[in-house]
Amino acid sequence: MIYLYAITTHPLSDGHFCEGLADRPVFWLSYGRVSAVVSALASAVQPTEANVWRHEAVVEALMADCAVLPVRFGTVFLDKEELGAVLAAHDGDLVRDLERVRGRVELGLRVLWDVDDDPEPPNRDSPAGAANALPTGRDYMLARLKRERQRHECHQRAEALAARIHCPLAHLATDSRKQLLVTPRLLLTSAYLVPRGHMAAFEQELETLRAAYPQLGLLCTGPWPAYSFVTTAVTADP
Amino acid sequence: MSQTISRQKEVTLLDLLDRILTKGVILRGDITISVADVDLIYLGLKVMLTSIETAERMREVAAERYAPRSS
Amino acid sequence: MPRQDLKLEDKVLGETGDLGAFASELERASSPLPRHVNADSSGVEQGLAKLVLTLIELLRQLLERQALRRIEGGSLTEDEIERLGQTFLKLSTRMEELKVAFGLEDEELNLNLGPLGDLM
Repeated sequence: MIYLYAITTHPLSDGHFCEGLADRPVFWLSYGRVSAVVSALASAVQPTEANVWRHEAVVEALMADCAVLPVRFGTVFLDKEELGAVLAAHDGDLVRDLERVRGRVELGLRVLWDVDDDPEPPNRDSPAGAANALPTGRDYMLARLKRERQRHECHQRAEALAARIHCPLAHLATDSRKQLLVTPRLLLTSAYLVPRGHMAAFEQELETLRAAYPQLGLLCTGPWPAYSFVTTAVTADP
Repeated sequence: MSQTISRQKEVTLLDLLDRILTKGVILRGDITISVADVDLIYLGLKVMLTSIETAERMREVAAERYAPRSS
Repeated sequence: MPRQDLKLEDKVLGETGDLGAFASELERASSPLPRHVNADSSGVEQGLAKLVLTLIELLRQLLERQALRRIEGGSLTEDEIERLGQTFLKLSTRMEELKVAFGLEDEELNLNLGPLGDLM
């Protein structure tokens, strides 16, 4: 089997590049306009901490020297031919993605806020005050209505606050992705595609925001390969 | 001090897992089917229920091709 | 040859403060979709139950929201509101029973549906 780590435009070396999963040598296979960074494997691998770091190490070693598209963990193919066929089918997308990420890194952000009123899980609803009596259908719907309105207000507050953090950072990036309230406490989860040269400015803006919003927790990680900015994705095997 | 470092590692790992397991170039479907604890290729969600036979076949092919040899 | 001594874990930028809080939120946020579905015997039922129940829960919540919108819009009679409420209440109770029966927590059913997830 062939394990795939990443896609580049061309090979960086002829022989082995480094050691990958199961300490197998990592090398390149070229297919038309792209090259695949691979190693041979006897069986598929589990996403253990060690394996995940090893995969990431391979991708990051490449990052320093060329445009890299990181491939999702656990992507294996029976043989070179199968890999070639799949890459050929997405050739155009891959080439475009490579240009999009060239010279850029991904920086990730998570923002924590204090939610005053945690919305109760849906099925814990009980009409206020009707402790002993069976709730009427109407009581149930009114209670749900109230909860929905609260949820909506909370969401609007979240959007406004998240924008104050996100926009100045997005300004320094070529592209960005964001998601609100992945959990009730995670106000914002976002990723920024930042040219290497802008990283310092980005970190500075981050410090400015930290000082301006001391009630929020800001976690920034990176630089990562551009995981969130790859558009090539298939949802079912061909 | 060391608690901070291990917390940092923990948080970094979680962040990495979120990226490496769900993002990047996706050339395979979503779920790993395991037959008798042997992990095989990822299969799409919509074919999950019908693909156990396929998984069996793949396992046979893989076993044949990659049977351990003496050198 | 690439440097094998890369401090890969050195990825946190700046002073974050309460990392513990982030760690627990990140755990909550990570995709609860069963990534590893064991296709032999007992594991299958659990994995499938999770999927099926999550889809039912999604439908239930979508339907509830639809009903709420109509109530707000004033297009339902008192009788209709009462009947809808009773039905949703029953559905809600039934879902709880099913979850208990399969030993599933609320959070395990929060399937990450991408754009659809915003409807949850």
